[in-house]
Amino acid sequence: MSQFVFATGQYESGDWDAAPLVPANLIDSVARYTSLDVAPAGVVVPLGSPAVPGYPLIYLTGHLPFRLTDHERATVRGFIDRGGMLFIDDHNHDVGGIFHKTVTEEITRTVGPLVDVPTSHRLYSCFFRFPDGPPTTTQELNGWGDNLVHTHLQAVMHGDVIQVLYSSKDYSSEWGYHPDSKRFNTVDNTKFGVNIIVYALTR
Amino acid sequence: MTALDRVRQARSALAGIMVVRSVLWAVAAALAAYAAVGFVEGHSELPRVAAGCTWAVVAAAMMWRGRATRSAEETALWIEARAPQLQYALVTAIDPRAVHVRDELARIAGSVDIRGLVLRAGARAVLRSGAAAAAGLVLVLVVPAGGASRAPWRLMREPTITAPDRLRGLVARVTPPAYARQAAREIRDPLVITALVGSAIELSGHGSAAGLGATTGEDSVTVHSVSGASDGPRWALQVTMPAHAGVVRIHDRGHERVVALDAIPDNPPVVVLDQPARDSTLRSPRGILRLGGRAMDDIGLRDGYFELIISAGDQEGSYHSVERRVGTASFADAPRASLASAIDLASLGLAPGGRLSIRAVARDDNAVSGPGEGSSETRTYRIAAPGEYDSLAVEPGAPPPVDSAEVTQRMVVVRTRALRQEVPRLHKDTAARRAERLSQQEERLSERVQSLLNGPEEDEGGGPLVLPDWQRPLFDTALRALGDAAAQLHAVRLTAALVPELLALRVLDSARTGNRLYLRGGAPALVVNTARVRLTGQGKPDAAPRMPEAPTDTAALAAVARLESISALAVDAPAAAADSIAVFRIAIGGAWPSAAAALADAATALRTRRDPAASLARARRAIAGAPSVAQGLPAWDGGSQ
Repeated sequence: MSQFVFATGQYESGDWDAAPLVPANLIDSVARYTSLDVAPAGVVVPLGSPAVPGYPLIYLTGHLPFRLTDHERATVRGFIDRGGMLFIDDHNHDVGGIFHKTVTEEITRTVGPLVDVPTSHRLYSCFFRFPDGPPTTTQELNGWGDNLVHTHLQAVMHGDVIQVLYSSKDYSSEWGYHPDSKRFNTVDNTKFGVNIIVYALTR
Repeated sequence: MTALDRVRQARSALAGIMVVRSVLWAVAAALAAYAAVGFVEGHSELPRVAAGCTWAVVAAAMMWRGRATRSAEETALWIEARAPQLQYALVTAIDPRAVHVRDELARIAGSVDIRGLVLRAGARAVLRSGAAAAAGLVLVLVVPAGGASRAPWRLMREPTITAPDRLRGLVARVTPPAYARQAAREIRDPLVITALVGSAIELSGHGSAAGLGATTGEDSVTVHSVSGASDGPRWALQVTMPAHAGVVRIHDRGHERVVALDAIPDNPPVVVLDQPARDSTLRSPRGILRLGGRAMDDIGLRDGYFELIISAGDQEGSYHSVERRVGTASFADAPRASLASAIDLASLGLAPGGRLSIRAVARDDNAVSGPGEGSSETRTYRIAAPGEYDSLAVEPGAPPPVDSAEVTQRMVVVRTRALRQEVPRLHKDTAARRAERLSQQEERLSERVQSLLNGPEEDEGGGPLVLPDWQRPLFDTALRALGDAAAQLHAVRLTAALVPELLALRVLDSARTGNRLYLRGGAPALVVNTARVRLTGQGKPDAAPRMPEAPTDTAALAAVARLESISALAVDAPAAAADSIAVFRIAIGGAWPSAAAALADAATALRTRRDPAASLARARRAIAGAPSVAQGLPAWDGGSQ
């Protein structure tokens, strides 16, 4: 069994590295709560790179317009077809925002339409239990962005299997802090990130 | 011989027997008391005192009981009681009113051997009392002195002092220095001698000086014999109270006696300058300045005065000063005194810019280490310099640092476009000023790009920022474009400036999107220490914040440790413990006065053969504080997440 390496996707448009602390924070949580053999540092993989299929999960985020080049699009399709999973998070937390509009259009065009993930999905119980669905973020509660609490994540599903997981909840802001600061939190808000990784590795 | 003569003879014999018997019984009782008290108290004066008192009381009681021998009638009755066959013939025979039967009664009385009766009774009484006295003597010889302290039924031993005789009954005569004008005093059996520095101290005791030695600190002290003492030979030594606390150690063969010397220093006078009350600046040196002050001393003041320093000039070479004394007064050893004087400012020769400094000074009569001199705080009167009043002595502060915030190239483009639209409505100078501001922003961005090209820059993680080769041409292009834009903006050619501005924006975006690069640094490279997160690492954890511990009071710990050793010593060697307490008390007196007082009580308790435990505990609490009470270990809460 090879080591899990957290990969952040680099795309030509927009700001792909808008949440540079999220990978380290999720790696810390995976190491903290699971026995997975996890690499201590994440990697950045360009979406047009032939190395993309070598990673089980690729994390994408940004604020700016999202549009894949033809080469990137083809690579992503191949990645999905070979069993990879994309996790895309809207760093704006704004369903009217430019990232949300462009990324949903691009994913629909590249992989397929996004649908709501039911709260009974295995994603919410594969490691930690989230019976109420995706945990609410601070950005949803403090009125920033679209001032909405999104009750569901969206995904491109193949049957019951998630191929592309899309979040409008801005987990990139919620998890964007240094792992050493985690000890100041009463409740670790990165636990759902562990579920996403465990699901991606065990689906 | 008549009956009366015979009775009188018997009375004399009985009186003698009564005296002898009383003395012997008193001796027996005294010996018993001596043995009993000595058994409890050991070697001290108390058994002797108890024996003497007992002898006197018992002897008096026995004498009183034998008062019957004072009259002939009582003696006759005593004989009648032991010779009932007389049937009161003897008592009647000696009665002067029974003249007509005196011969007959004398004949009857003569039939009884009164002499033998008295001798037998006397022998019995003397034998009994003698036996009692002998028993008392045996008791004294058998019962050990101080044996009570070693008796098995005693739960705690009473501390006893078994010092040799020459070190007992120590007397200290303390004579303060002459200037203090204090009376000499005598301290019996001193543990600590508290006296003024320089006091003459004579320590004396019973016995000869042969074989006695003494030291104070590192110095030896001569012990000499005192002749002409009324109570036998005495020894004595003289020391002077040192400036700091110390001890005198007196050695007698294998024994040692320690007397602590607690020095009271003669403090210098305390002086307060009441007038003038504050510093001031005068336009001109004119008028009368009144001076007033107070002085206090713990022993006595000798004299005092006001000290004036008149100075002029404020630069090296031009500065000079003169000192004067005014208002000198003698205080004749008074503990408190006042100073008063007045000075004419015009007579001091003060020039504009000059200063007059005033303070009150007082001296005490300390002839040992002094005289002690105390002074008040200084007041300064300054004469204003010419031109001083129209100057403002406010140093300008340093200019604030330049705001390091920088606008982006995109913002410069936006502002240039906005300015281009506003130019027709703006005054020429305003437009030029705003264009110049944009030009400066372009120059600052140009400098940042130039620094990127020159390197080495640092990213946010502190590591070196290395430009990849493919980015260099882009930054070179951007650098040239930014320079062109700044020049065009400087010339207020806004449309022309937009061309290089947009070029610079495009190439900077190309470099940015190719590999994100922040002009303020790159994204930090974080490597998670998974071994530490999983608590399997070998490194020292440093995640939890820790509160610093309170600094340890090492002096208190050392004092408590020494106190514990003294407490242990008090059980087996109370004399040594008392000496140690005396020295220890001097050592800690300044830091823990209440502990020193408790130690004095403990030493006194040891000297008087009482239990010092309570005083030692009080001293310990004064040093280390009251013991803290814990309600037990806290309950285990199962840990926290």
